Amino acid sequence: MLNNFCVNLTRSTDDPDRATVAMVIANAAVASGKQTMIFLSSEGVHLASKGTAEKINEEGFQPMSTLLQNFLAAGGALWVCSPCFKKRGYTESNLIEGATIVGGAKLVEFLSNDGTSISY
Amino acid sequence: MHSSFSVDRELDLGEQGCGQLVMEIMLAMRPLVAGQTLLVTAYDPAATVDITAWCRMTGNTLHPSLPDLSEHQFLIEKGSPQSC
Repeated sequence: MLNNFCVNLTRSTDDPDRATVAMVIANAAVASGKQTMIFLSSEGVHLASKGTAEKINEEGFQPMSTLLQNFLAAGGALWVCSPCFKKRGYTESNLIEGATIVGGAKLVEFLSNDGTSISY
Repeated sequence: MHSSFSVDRELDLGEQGCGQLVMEIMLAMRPLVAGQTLLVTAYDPAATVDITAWCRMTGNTLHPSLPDLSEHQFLIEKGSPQSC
């Protein structure tokens, strides 16, 4: 059974419903014992900036900040596309605790190691 | 009271489902040791299939329907120490 599980997320406050569902699935993966990583790219990188998760609270779901905290506390990894982050004016000082800025090679390595991915 | 089995911990998840449901189960199972049991109450329509799949993936045992349990109750026995 594959153990590296990537949730590729390209949305944040621009599509809070999609972003929330992605985070719920990531929670399911990490809670099921998978080596789980969320890869934030494009508009998704806003979620790795301080204060953004607190703005998303979709009806029928736990708040984004709770989902994110649970994910990280359970051992999930939150990777942030470096050029996407910089393009939007962010620096490392804007990064939330637990997030890591990475480049494409890191993603390719993760997926090449018996990984599977779902995209939102 | 449950006459036909022992319960070490109980968790009422109400209508929670999907990843939120299994995350809460995982957190509740963590402090248990192998052989201890968690009785989950969950009303989400996907609870049965999700909890069954979660148990398969994590090495925990979902006990089949027991006379004392309703269709919304699930008895999970902690597996090996590596299990979630």
